[in-house]
Amino acid sequence: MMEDEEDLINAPSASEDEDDDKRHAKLLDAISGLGGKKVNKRSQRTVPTNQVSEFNFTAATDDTKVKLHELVGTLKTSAKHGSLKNQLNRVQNQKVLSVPLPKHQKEKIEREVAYKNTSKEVSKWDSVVNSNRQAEQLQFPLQKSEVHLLNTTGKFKQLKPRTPLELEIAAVLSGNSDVLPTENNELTPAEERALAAMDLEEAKERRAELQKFRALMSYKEAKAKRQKRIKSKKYHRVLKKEKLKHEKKALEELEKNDPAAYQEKVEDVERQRIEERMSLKHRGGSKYSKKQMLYAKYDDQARQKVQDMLQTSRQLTQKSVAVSDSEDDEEEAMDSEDEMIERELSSLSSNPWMKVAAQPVAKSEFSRPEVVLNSEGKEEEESDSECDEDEDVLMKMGRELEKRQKKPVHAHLVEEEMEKIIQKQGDQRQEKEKSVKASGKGVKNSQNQKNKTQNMKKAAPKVEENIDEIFQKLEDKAPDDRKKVEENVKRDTENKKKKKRRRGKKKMEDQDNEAENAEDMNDAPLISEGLKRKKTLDDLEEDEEEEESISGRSSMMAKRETEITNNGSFTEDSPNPKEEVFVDPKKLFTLETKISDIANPEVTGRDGEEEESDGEEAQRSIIAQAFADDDVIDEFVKEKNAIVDRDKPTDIDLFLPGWGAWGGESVKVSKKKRKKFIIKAPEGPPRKDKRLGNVIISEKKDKAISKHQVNDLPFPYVTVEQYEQAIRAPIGKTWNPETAVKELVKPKIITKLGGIIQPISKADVFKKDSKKRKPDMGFQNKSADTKHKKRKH
Amino acid sequence: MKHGPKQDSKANRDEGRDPESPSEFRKDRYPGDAPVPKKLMSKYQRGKKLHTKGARTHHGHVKLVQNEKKVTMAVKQAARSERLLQEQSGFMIPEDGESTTNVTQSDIVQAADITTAQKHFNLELTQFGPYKAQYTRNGKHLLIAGSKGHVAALDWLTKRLLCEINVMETVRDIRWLHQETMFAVAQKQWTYIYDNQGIELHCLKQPNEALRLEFLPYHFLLASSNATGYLYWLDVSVGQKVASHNTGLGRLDVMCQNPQNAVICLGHPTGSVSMWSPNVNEPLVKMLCHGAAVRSVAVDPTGNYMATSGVDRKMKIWDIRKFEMVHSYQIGCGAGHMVFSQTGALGLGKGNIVEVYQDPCRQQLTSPYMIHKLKTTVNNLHFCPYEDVLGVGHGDGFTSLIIPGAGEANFDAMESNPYQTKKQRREAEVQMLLDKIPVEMIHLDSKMIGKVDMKSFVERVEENNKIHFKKPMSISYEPKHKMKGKGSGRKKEQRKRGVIEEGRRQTVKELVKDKLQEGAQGRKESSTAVSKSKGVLDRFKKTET
Repeated sequence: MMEDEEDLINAPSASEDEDDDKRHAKLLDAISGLGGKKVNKRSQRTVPTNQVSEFNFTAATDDTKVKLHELVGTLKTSAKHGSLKNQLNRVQNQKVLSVPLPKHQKEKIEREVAYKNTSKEVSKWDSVVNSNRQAEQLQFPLQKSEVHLLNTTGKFKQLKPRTPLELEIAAVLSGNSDVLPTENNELTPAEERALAAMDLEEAKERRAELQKFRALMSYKEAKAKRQKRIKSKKYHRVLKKEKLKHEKKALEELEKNDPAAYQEKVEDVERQRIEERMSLKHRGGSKYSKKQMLYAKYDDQARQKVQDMLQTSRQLTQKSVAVSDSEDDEEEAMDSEDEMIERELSSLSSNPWMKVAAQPVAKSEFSRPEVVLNSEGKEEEESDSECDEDEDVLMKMGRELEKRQKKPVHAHLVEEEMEKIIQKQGDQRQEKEKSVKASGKGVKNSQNQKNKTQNMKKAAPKVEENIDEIFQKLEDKAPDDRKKVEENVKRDTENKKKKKRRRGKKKMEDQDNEAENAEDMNDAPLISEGLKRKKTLDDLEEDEEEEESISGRSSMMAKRETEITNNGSFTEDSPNPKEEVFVDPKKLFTLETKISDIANPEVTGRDGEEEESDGEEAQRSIIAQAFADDDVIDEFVKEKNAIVDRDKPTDIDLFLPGWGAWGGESVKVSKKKRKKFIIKAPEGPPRKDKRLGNVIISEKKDKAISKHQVNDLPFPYVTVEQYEQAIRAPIGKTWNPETAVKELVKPKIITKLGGIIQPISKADVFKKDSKKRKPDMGFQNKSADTKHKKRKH
Repeated sequence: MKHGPKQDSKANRDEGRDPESPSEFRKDRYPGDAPVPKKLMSKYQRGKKLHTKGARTHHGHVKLVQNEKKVTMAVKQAARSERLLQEQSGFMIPEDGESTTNVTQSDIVQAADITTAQKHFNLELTQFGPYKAQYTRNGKHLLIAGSKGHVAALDWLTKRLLCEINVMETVRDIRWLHQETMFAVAQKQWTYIYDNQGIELHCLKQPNEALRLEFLPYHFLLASSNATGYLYWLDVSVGQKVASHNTGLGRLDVMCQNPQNAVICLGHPTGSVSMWSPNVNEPLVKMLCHGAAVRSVAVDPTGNYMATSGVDRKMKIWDIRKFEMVHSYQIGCGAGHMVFSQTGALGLGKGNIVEVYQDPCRQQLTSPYMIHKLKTTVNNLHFCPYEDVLGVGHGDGFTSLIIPGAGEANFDAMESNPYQTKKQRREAEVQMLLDKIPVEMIHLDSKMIGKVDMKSFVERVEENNKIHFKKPMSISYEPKHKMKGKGSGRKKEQRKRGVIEEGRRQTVKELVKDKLQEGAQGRKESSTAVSKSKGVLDRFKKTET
């Protein structure tokens, strides 16, 4: 490698040097020629002779250099000058190194070459890297080690007996007939012998027996396991009881058979009793029992637990052994028994009370021991009192529970008050409802559905009359300035409205454009933009008339027809100057609606009062209704305007009064000057509710959510839209079936826990490559790979 | 009906071996998976397909294509698994010339099977009315509350009572919380939370005198409104206030939630409906819906349509994606109560009449689907989820009405399971808490979370620019206490002032230094261009050129 490099380096430079020399000589010639002096040239002998004058030798010029081999050539033939020949040979073989390049140049060249080589080397891995990148999933370690099952024979073959003990055992085993001689054999020699000796039926029997035993054992095991796992308290209680029963029986037997052991047992029980009475563990002595008592107020389970505890404490504190033949015994016997117990107790060194008490019993009247060592009846009394205490606790809880249940009964007393309160609060609401009900006042209560529509029709004219009256009254009061405003606004919005109109109505509109303009609405501009149809009060009237003419319930089609006719009538009636002013606001909401053929059941209050409400009230409500819209719309428009103004970017006013001009109170500043100093704010983006007259959409940015949003465009995406599209589909279980979820959330990399991840071995990859086979590691996307290559070239 | 390709090929091979088999069996006539209808697929398609033409790198492009494939696969699987939804919703088909409007509850009860017939019942509770009723999210339990304090929770199918209490106060509204273990009751002054045994767990003293409650199950938020115009959100999982807005819109006694984006809709006496999120302290949207006071608002389960009714005796359907009116109907009187069912049927209570409209959003109504008349005024309506039942609370108690086709036929047990066991309920509770959506994600556009926060880039730049102004650190210094006679209070204060002043001076000094340095650099740069700053009088100097 290095030699090659040197060759590469030297070869061109050497030739260059030669060229340079030649040129240099030529140049010298030319310069010498310039001087005009003749340089005596060497004469060239053309005739070859043997005698060469020795004076005629000149220094060899460049083109006629004497070469070594020319001089030495003759030496080859002669046998003399052996040492000279050797020397010459040595000289010839010695290579003369050319002058090394300057260091920086050399390094540069080295780097270049090194880069080329490494990139060539590394680029071999391109396909592997690409395929790994594009793989949907990589499982590490990539090279799967061969899996083979370990069998015991193979494992044990490795083991060889070493210690003397092992050697001994091995010797025994090898000679034993109970060991399998080879792997292939199914039976040991001993077994074979036994089989041979055994009768077939006998063998079968024996096998069956063995099987039975095995089965029984497994059953028992399973049962024990199952029982151990059972959580039911009831079951365990029953189990415990059974156990106790058995113990009792055992005790009885013990009494008969082994009195000493029996005595021991009795003592044990007695100790338990004493401990219980000392600690009162089950009667509020322990933290647990205290807590349970507290919970027992509310919790049934806790109550049960408390009861259980009391039960156990009672059981423990019972004089179990002494009682055994208790009440029928005579007093003497009791005395003797008492003494016996005393003795027993006194022997219990653990109880200091007992020690003290044991002796004075007979003589002194010290009360405490008496209580402790009381006779049967007293003890029972005591326990009774204890029971009473327990019951007291329970009773208390019970009472409290009862109280809770009784509460509703007490509630009846408060009921009236409550009703009053509720009525007060509900008043507001009722008033609202009244207005509604009043509107349907004309409608009489009846169950027949057919009557309903007729009733409705009757009601309608009344409403008309009312409205007419209202308008008559209002007409006089109507403020004039309002009209002006209306007209102004109207002019602006005219064009917009025209566009909004339905095509079907266009013709009619053209005809009565003027009329319409005259009676156009005031605050309509903003709000009407969002709404569909426009009608006047007349339309409603017409509607109702039409309805009257149509008998029965009209179908949808019929309704549509009425609407169309309405429009016709609207054109005719509109020029009427009377209605002009007042009709407008109503159009927006109350009258534009489509009245569908909904079978309207009449409103029937349970009490007749509401039905009887007189016409005046109805009228009032209608008035309120008729002009409610007015205020509502006005207010809304105002509000919207205010908000629009608020959200507008504000201009910056840099005007300073008195600067560059006269200032003072009465000095007027020209508008032009002022305008100069106002920097207009750029117009923001159009509001979202620009086209919706009846909607205000907040332009305030909700900053809270940005915490959860993505701020920068993630890696492979080019545009925001692309990214948003890519994450459009949810991947959760809630939205996708299980199979899809598994696929969607497949991890990119799977590593075996604890498995060593070796770097990809070169040999593995390229060996397979050379064989023109897909390597077994992450080359899943070969087609993509090739594509990539193509692209590269 | 899947036809596995593997099986087919095997069959083919078998056939190939047997030359006598009939030729028609040699080829599978329906190879591959059963096709999924495109219409069905479009139901699960979420937006347009990804435009994968460009990506930053080649392997990035490959990834995008892979991902898109997976998404298509998911859509296909989802569409395919629709076969598993075996249940169909109930329905009534009227004969020619008849309409379902005239069908009464008794007719249905007579015609229906026993289990269905049992779902129509009436609880006569004349003492403590008028009643409000609400079902749990899985439709298994019912909560009723009389305005005079009677509150009862029950398993309404078996009629097993969970608890029955009298809170001895006016009850304004009730709401189940995330499960049947807890419910909130808006009482006379405060809102209380009880467990399913009627034990008081919490007393929420904010807001005062709540009028309406609304529970957002995915966010664990209890929204309540009151008469003074306050709207209040409480996170019931941690018991903390999330937000409280003063709407300034008067008494808020009309409220409902948009189940799609958890935005609260309020109806106002000014005829407008406003939508609120806890993150913005002004209405997200305010729309003028009626010429008079709004009496009730309801949003359909898809969150696309809203129904409003007002005192002006109108019922209007709005498309709340575009905020435009879709339909407007004159109804006999203003509906005081409206509610949507899972299938999009609209229940409407006006006076003593309950009307149900089928699919009022997408079609023009001509007549109600069903009508039921009560003796007293309706006080509350709620459709039972996963059942064809409409619960009506009224002055005389509670009535359960059968409305065929009102409930969703197929339930998703992962979402809400009507047949939940106790253990499952507990599991579900934990799951719900783990899946709790943060409050910040409540937004009018529920897909906002999937969008890139583009504006914030500009904002970040602005914020960065603002950092120029250094704020002096606030210094809190507590002077050392000295023994009596050693230092007076005045001295102490003086010392304190001194330290604070010194600190401030230090920061100011630093600031000045920084600025000077900056200025020096700036001058150096500028000095090359302009030799000297021009004073006012420089113009009179003689110039050399």
